[in-house]
Amino acid sequence: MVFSSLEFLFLYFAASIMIYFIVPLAFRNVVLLIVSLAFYGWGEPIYVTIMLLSIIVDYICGYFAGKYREIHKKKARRFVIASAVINLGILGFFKYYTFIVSNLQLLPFDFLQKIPLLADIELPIGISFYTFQTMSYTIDIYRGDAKVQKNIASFGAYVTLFPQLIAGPIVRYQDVDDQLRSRPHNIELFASGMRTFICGMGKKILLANCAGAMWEGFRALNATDATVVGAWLGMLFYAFQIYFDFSGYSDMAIGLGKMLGFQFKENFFYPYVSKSITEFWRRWHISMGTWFREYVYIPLGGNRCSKLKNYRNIVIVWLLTGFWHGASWNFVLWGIYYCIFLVMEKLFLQKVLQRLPGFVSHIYTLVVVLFGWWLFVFEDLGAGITYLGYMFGQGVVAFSEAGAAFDLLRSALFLVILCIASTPLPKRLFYKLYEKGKGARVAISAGCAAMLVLCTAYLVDSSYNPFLYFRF
Amino acid sequence: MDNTEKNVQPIPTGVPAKKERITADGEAARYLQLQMHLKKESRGADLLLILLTLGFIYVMAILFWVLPDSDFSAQENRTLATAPKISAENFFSGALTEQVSDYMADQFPFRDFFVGMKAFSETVQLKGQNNGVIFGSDGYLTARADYPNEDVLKTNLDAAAAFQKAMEEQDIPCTAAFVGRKQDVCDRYLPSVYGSYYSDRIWGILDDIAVSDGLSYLNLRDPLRSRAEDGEAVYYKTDHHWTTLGAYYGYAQVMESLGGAPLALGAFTVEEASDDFYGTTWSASGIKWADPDPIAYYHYGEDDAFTMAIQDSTMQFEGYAGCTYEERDGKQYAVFDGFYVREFLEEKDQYASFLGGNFGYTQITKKGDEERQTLLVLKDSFAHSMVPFLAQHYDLILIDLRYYKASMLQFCQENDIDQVLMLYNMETLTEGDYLKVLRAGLNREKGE
Repeated sequence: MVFSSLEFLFLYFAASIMIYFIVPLAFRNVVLLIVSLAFYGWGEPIYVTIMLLSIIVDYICGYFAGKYREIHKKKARRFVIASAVINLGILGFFKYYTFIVSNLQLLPFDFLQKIPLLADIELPIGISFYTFQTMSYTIDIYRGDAKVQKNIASFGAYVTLFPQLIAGPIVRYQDVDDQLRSRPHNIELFASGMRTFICGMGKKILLANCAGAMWEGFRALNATDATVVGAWLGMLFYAFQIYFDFSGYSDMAIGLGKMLGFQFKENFFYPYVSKSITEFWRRWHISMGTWFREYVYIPLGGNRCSKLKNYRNIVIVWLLTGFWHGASWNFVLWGIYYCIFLVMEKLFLQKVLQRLPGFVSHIYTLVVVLFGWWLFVFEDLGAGITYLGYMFGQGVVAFSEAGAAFDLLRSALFLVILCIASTPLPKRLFYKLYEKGKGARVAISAGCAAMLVLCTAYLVDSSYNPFLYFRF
Repeated sequence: MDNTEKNVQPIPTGVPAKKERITADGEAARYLQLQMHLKKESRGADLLLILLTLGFIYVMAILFWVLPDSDFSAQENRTLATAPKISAENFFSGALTEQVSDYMADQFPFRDFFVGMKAFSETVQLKGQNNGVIFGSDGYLTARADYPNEDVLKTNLDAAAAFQKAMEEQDIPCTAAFVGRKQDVCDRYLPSVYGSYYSDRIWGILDDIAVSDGLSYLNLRDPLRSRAEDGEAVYYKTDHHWTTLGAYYGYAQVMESLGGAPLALGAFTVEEASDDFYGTTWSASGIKWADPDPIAYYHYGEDDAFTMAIQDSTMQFEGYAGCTYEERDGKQYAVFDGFYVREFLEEKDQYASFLGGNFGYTQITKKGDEERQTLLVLKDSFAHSMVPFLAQHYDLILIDLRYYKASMLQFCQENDIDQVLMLYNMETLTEGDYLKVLRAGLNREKGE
């Protein structure tokens, strides 16, 4: 079930929130666990068992890692390794098995051909997120960054917590450790959560879905109707779709968390205003970047080692980051692509960029990111190259024609809206209003409610609600 | 702003000072601080927000359960999803999840209102189009089809050409007439950048194929287009069909092609049968504030002089005024006087009042013993409003190949057909390979 659906809002959310606030404080984690399992089980009635397995494994590993970390470091370490092996094993099997085997079979060895391909394994929803979360728990315990959670219901609630279960943000255990034990529930927080949730819903439904519908139209361009204008417009819409889809979903998660008393960290911070790729990655999918930094980059030695090792570490992190996004070569290339720009910026480009006027480095960043999305979106490299050809006038019927021109014209205002919504302007405006006084705050409340109704209208109107991040 | 707020210092603010480096979490923390600071002052607004949002969610949730389900949406002309059956098998296969999703979307309270609201929001954003319908000038709503499937068009035209040739060998004159879609004919009402680019292209392709196949056809797009240019209402604003006036102009061209003389427009008396027709394009568009179209019936003499027999095994017209069911050769026929089923004027799909909608086989004959030729019309629904004109000259058998699959060659021989008219609209020609069935029996005839 995705948040941006009628059944989530009017069945699941309506029921869960009521139950959650009716039961006494002491039972709220249990309720959270149950409703979250229901949330996941509704979409994945069979794969829910894998998540339960992951919970039990890390509950046990975390427990022993905590028990032995002071007295027998080696023993504790074994439990961390066990947790990593099991979680990565699950993730590896469900997400990468078919990819790895089919690539191995390209090698000319007979025995490789006998390995079954198991092409019909479906990816359990959210597996990339919850395996990372459970691992972080055991590691945090081992490092002494968090305390052992003896209550399996509370630990289960952390893993399954429905707001962030499917598409993150990836919540590190140490960030919610205290909140699992006690957290505030009050009107301000609930209202604030509702505002964040509705803002995220607006991003997802009014912006991402509409941009996505445009992109799908252009993606289908072929030899009979491709144009340069159409191809560029398509990529532009995709860039907006993926940002608003993902950040909207994160906002919805953060908002729901707040309603339940949790403070999740922000996951996006206006990435499209960045003036370098280094900055872009500080602003894009922050929780994932943090995870790789804390649990891969720093343990490898980070930058506190020789220059050569430092670059090796960067390469490893970006290969993994790319591969984490999907079991396909284009994601690996996407990781390498960013790695190249990041290393170049570290070596010299950053200094150059700082001397250039702001708009030049901004354009540089956006162009690099746009072609990054081109790598990202086409899993079939052949189709991607054909599309890239269209962007540069290869194989098109014209530079522009009726459909592309009309689409450009009719989405002009929408593109302006998308651009403005990618900047901090709307939020600044919101703060200004919010501080202004009671009348303004009442107006904000009414506006939020109206936005909810409008989002409902879009949901009712359309079955067009594909969710991009399901393959994670 | 009230005074207490001014006196408290310092006021935390959500907006960071210029030049200050700030992180995402820093910003969120500021906002929370601000919120907590304004706790008392903002309580009223916070409560209002919670009341409005949760109120909306719970009211809709309750209405969804309480209001009775409807089975059919006339707007969309489709059956709606109803409450799914809950079973373990259904659940574990994942089917239930989808069914509940469909059920909610289809039975959501005030569904129509929300659909209209979305259309309005798109209009305000100047998107110029909603759910694939372009908002043209003067209230014209046009389904957008940028570039239809050339291959399907070719399959259909190849079959039509082969059939035409086979008919000529049988000495049965066979005329093909192709009608434009609204975007082909009424492009003056489309946004000017969109214009007729795609139409010109696909009609050019049609012409190329026809020439290479040796198919002779009558182009009904161009003459109607010039009528539309002159401002004549040849297509409905809210529907994809041509108006009865448009059908008359089509008829005039077709009659000349069939070798007859069309009746003059002035010879008909015009009845405005309806003034509140909202067509299919309107349904798709979600534009609830559009004006309806009128529907006109053109009469020449008494319509009752004609008998219409529709092959209809479902007996869907039972109880309709003036309809009797007859059994011929083991098949049920709904028999009417005249061409119209006026009951449909009270329903959503008023265009179906012409010939009662889409059926595989319909026969129209004139009462009395006047000796008339029989014209076989292979057609889609555009033919329905042309039939009252053609029937003045011919006895008609209408076949819709989408529903009636049989060898037409054999059919012509068995039913003493004197002439054949293939009357198709570009949409039908490019949507599916419906005409392929025309090849049935052709090769056998040649002994292949």
